[in-house]
Amino acid sequence: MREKLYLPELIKGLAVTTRHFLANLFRGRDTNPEILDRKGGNLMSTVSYPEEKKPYAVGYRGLHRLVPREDGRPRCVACYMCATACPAQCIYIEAGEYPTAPDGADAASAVIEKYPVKFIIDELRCVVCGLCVEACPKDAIRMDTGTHAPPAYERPGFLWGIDRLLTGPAVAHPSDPWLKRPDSAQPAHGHKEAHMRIAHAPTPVEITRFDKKD
Amino acid sequence: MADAPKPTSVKLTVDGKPVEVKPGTNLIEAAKQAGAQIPYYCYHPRLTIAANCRMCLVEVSNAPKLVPGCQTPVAENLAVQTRSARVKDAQRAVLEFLLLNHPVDCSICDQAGECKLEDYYMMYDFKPSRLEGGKVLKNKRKVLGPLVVIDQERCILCTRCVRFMEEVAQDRQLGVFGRGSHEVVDIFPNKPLDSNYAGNTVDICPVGALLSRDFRFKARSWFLSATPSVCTGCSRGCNTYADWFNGVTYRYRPRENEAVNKSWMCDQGRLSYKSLNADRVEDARLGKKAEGKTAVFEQAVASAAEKLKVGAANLGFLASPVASVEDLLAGFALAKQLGLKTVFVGGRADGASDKILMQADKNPNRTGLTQIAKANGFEVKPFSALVDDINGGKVRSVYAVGGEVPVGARDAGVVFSKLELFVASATNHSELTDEAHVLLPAATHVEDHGTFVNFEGRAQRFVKCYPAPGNAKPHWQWASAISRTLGGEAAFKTAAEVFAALSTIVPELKDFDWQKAQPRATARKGSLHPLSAGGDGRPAGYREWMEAR
Repeated sequence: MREKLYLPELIKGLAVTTRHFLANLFRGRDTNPEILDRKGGNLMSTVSYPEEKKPYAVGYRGLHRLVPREDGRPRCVACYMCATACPAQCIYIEAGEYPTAPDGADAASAVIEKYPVKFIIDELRCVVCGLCVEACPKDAIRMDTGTHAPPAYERPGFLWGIDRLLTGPAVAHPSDPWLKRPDSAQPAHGHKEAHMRIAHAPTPVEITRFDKKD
Repeated sequence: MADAPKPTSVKLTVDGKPVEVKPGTNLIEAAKQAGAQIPYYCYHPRLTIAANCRMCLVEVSNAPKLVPGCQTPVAENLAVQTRSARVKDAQRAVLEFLLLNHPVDCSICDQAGECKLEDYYMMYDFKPSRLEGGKVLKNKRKVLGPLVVIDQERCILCTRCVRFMEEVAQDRQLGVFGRGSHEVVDIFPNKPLDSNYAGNTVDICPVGALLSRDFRFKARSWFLSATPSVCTGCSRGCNTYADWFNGVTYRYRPRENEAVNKSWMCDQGRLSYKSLNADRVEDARLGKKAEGKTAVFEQAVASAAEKLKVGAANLGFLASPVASVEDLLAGFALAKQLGLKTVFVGGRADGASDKILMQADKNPNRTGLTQIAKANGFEVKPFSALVDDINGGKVRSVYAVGGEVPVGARDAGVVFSKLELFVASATNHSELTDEAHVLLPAATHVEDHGTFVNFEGRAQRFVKCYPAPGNAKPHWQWASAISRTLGGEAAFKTAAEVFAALSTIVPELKDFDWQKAQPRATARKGSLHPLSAGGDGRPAGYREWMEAR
């Protein structure tokens, strides 16, 4: 019976709408992008993108990048680990071999030997799971750009190759092979690295000792 | 005093399990028969025993110390322990030693995915390295010869390759040089590793030290599917695995067959996979290359049948011994239907031979061709006779099964350009197929089921790896479709059906069980299961494609 008298409920609903409308129209608006931290009477919670931007959550996986070495070439050695791990199968790689030193290669490439001729990520197929980053043994692919794929009008616009993926600061690691030797041939010192040789000034080496704790 | 009769079998226990083996069997093989696994690197059943990797150390009841299983023959009532605490300890210690200076190159190394160091590390060791300081640095990529490159850092000095070159290839091109941690496998100065059997050293290398320059960095092993196949390089018909992915064959590897090729194959045959990918005929063509246009299956068959009916009076039938017996049977059935009494044999020209595997006849199926021709009552003539007949005007039209000819394709093309009609089913484009009035795209042996008969008369089955490119169909399918259009009775639908007909006609193949002879992959490649889908952005579910039978 009570439900049949729908008129009071209708007025109640209209009152809510009117209250929100008037509040948003006349009361001041806080533009703090953290919506939960907003003060002020304005109830509007929409973010006016792109004037207002919400910062991404900590741990947000941004768009991929291929990490360069110091000389600007990718750290990637075309091992296909990322392509193998990728559940969306959006990574396509073609491997190539740098020429050996006598063929006129520079020293760095003579140590690296394998590199990606093609490295293509289809950003439309990518599910942003980050497994490629986990799988990479060379820290050559990262998702630390903090951006997402920019829009494009055609599908080919989302096929990112080395030229677009290779951005950001270079990364070095003590285990990088080009830090150990000048090229792929057997070094003159036979089997001792620089810090092991007496003729050289000793390089401090951090040694982990497995002493018993007291 | 008369000698006691030699025992015919020896009883022993492996991990408590009784097993009976032939005397003289070593412990690795005995353990295999008992279902136990003894890991090893340097041991190879077809090479001499070196016992230098020490991975196969096991505990036996008649020796105080651990003994290498590869080198120790079985003894009566011997108790062998392959998983005792002492053995496990030794295995871990050996692996730690072998991995001490081994670079962790797995991401670059081509052997990743089928490397025994990887496998055994996960199975028996699983401990971090305790090495302080640097590893020994050696040559990372030294080119040993036309097909082989070595990474001496990855080498564990098992000397399988050195023993292979000496014992099987009978060409001492490899040696071990240096002492201790300076020891390397290398070639002699200015003497490259150019033996025709050098590729086998890549197969038997248990780690990624010796790698094929041809296959290197082309594909990762875990994407490849291995299908049992037969090499078409010569009339030996070495048993192989065709490793393929997504409609492309990447390499051949020898498949064990005691009677034919043991565990080996020659480099010439190993590289013959390239013709499977190069310049394939993918669509039927009506008209010569210059003015030809593409046609679908029905059009091409109708056109070929119509033209053959007209030109049957002075027709020559050219059969290639590179085609399988199924292809040749269907082709010969068509030739019989057209009223022919003679067949001409094409195929590749003879080449070099050696005393190990390679035969001078470079065609895999000449014996099969001869058998079928004889059973059908055909007179077999060489290719030169066909050339004479064309030049003399006796033959004015030709139907060819297979585009291989013993003279150069260019020379043959000049002769064949005089023909009024040339119908050819061929796998690869050449100057000869350019002259065909009707060109039918044919499937290679990895794209269909079939049989080759090798020079010893041994019929060997091969199975389909992947579908043929474009609109290519097996030779027998083209021939039987044309035969059907002309009103023939031999209308085969499957290769098995063709063989069923074949075994009733050819006496040599009467006892050959086509279904039973189908080879199956016996060993899993490496320790990885094949993925259920491709991983490099190509269509999912495509790579494990296999015709449902």
